[in-house]
Amino acid sequence: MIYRLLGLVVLAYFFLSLTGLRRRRAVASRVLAVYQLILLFIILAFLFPDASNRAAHFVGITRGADFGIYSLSLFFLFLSFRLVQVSRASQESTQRLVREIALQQAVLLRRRGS
Amino acid sequence: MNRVAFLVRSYNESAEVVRENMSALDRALGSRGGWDVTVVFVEDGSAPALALRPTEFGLAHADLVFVRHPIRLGPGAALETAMEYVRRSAAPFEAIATFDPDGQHVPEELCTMVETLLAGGVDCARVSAVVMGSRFLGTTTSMRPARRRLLRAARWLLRLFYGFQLTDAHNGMRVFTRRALESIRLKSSDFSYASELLEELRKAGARLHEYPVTIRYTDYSRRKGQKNANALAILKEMILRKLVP
Repeated sequence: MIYRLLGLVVLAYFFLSLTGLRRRRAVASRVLAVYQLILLFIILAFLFPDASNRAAHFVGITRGADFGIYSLSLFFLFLSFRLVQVSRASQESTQRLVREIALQQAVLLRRRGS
Repeated sequence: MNRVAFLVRSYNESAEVVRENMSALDRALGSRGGWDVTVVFVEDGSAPALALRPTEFGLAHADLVFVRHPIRLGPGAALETAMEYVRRSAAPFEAIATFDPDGQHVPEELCTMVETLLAGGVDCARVSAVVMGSRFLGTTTSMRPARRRLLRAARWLLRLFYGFQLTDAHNGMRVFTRRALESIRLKSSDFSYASELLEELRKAGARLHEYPVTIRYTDYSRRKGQKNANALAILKEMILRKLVP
């Protein structure tokens, strides 16, 4: 019981931190909404373990825990693709900036006689 | 008079090797008339910086544009910088050639490739065409068997991914028409740019021709060039580009 309570406190803390980030508009609200939804599901699974079993049965999976693992695997896959996109976008911005500076400072040497 | 641009990128190259290759290019240009040539040389943030001032390149038959990236971006990004210079330039370049100054490529052959493109009488501003160098149609000196196998595998992957039937997927010697160059925007900063470039050309419906060239593998170029282990990273990029456009 004590572990469950501790878990709930930690999850609630994360949930509230995300709400704080949303208020300060530090992260895109669409992304935060996805994270909050996932956290909400985890909190509900903590509070009502039987409900997660029922949800698992509903989608044809035997146990609630398995359902959780499959969902998390999908989430991590989504997250890694998202990270690739974000890192690529940031790399492209850096490239554009460096290229712009380099082109502005380009040196032109005319050949002899031209 | 045909306007031709030669795009050269360099990262941590030895000053001596660069000077040798630029002189070889200049000799090749000197033996030809009727071209108005600009060499766009992109120094990709080498550390230490290239110990060669632009005035020491020894180019007597071409204008030189020297561009230096303040930090290293990678070979694909360096080529894109050179291409961007040409795109922004008011000069009506007709043919745009690329090669590496590490001694693997023979500038004389690159000039012949340019001649081949221009001799075809194509309207370079309207027709998207590229002449690609192929070491498998030409000759290679001292190529290691592992590299040969890898490049053959790349040929099949290229066919699978983009439908191109090229014999040499990753050859740095290429000559583009202005129109072909306009259709390319490289996002890959590393060596996977070569497959991205082909993908862009496929989208633009470019006509691709291969030309036999010589690739000289020297100890210097092996040390400097692509490692075979990069192949996996390139394959990963090719797959990712399909999944996350």
